[in-house]
Amino acid sequence: MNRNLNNGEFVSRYLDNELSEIDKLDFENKLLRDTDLREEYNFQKDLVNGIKEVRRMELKSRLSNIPIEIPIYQTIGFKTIAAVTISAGIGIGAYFTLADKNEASLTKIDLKQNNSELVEEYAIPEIPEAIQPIIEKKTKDEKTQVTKKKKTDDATLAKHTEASEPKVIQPNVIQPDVVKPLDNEDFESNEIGNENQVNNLENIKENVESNVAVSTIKDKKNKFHYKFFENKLYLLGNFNDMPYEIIELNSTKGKSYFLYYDQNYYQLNKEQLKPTPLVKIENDSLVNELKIIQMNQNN
Amino acid sequence: MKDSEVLNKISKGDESALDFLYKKYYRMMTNLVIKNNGTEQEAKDIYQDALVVFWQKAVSGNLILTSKISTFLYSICLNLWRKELERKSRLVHDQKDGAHYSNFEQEEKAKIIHDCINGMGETCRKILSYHYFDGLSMTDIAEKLGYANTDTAKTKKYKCKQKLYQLVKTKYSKSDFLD
Repeated sequence: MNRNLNNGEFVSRYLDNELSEIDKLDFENKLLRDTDLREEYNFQKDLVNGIKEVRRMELKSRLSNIPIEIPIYQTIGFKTIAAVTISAGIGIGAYFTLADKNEASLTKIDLKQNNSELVEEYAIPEIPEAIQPIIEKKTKDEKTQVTKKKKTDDATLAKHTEASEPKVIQPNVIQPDVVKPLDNEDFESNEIGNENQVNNLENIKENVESNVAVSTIKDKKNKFHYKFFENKLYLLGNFNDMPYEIIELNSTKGKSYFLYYDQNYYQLNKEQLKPTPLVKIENDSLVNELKIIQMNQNN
Repeated sequence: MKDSEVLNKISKGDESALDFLYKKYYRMMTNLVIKNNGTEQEAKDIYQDALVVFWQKAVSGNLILTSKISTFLYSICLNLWRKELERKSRLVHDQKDGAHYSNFEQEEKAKIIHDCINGMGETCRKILSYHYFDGLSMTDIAEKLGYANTDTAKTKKYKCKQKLYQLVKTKYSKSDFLD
């Protein structure tokens, strides 16, 4: 067959794989001997390689024109920002976690144990000092009563710890039996200034600033009186010359009110619906207590 | 798109499947080169060459993959990069021996042929490319280019090759190509 073909046709059929196995062998043998055939073969081989190369370049060109969107998380800048952000997140998380633990440790204090150290640490140091003389006056019987009321004390301490307001911690010793609102008779009698009044204050669980509505009325007949009416306090007399202050104390028995006016304290009985003269509290201990409470409120 | 769908598209000569693969594995394949002392551009070239090799093998429809396309592509990239490193090493050695003249002559020959091919019409370029590069049968080429039958495609291919042959022969003297 190959005898009828010129060199160009013979090479072309060989390159196109159109020759039989016998003709292939014949071609390859001739290629080794025939220089002209080898020249023709090399020429056509270059053409085929050129065609392949052009196609290859065409495909590569197509691929080069495809925009590659590198995900942001694969960029160096993003990795840096991510690392910084994660580090900051860990730091902040750790800070708040530790802070939460500290807070939790405060709320998980076992109140049935002796937490005097904690109380000293988290509560106010100055109040106990002020109360100290009063406590030292307590009798053994009173201390027994204190023991009976230990749970109440603990609850009070818990509130103090959570609120972290120094003033609420003061009464370490409580005598619940004597809790009743002070009335004018207490002050008018000779027993004014006895320990009952002090204990009355000691039973106070919490004090807040007064939020009772107050109204002053210039009354010629009642020049230094007060009365309660529909949960409103009326101060009768001339109270416009000097500032006054109402101290409201919350106790287990209810609220107690005191008036501070012109550097003196006055007991207010909310049961008094008629004009009642204001009587100055003479008991120094009670006055001191009120001063402390007032000072803490103002702080 | 699943691997089987990609292969099916490529076997039909759908080049969009190649685009899909290129985007999908770009970072993975280029990292292989970049992490082995290659530049970004070298990595891109190698990956594109690998995809072209893959195309050439898959377009005939006879490629049977026993692994994922990504694994196959990875191995092609690896082999191409090794060859490229060897070529670069050899190039340094050849330059010392003054062998660069031979390469230059070969490059000139290739450029002349490329110019002639690009000077042909699009139909001739396609039919020759499909036949010699993609390895498509005359039946497939006839179908792809919309010819009436296989014989028409055969005749067209023959005429295109003769045209190229004459273009190159006419434009350059025999001494430019043959010793």
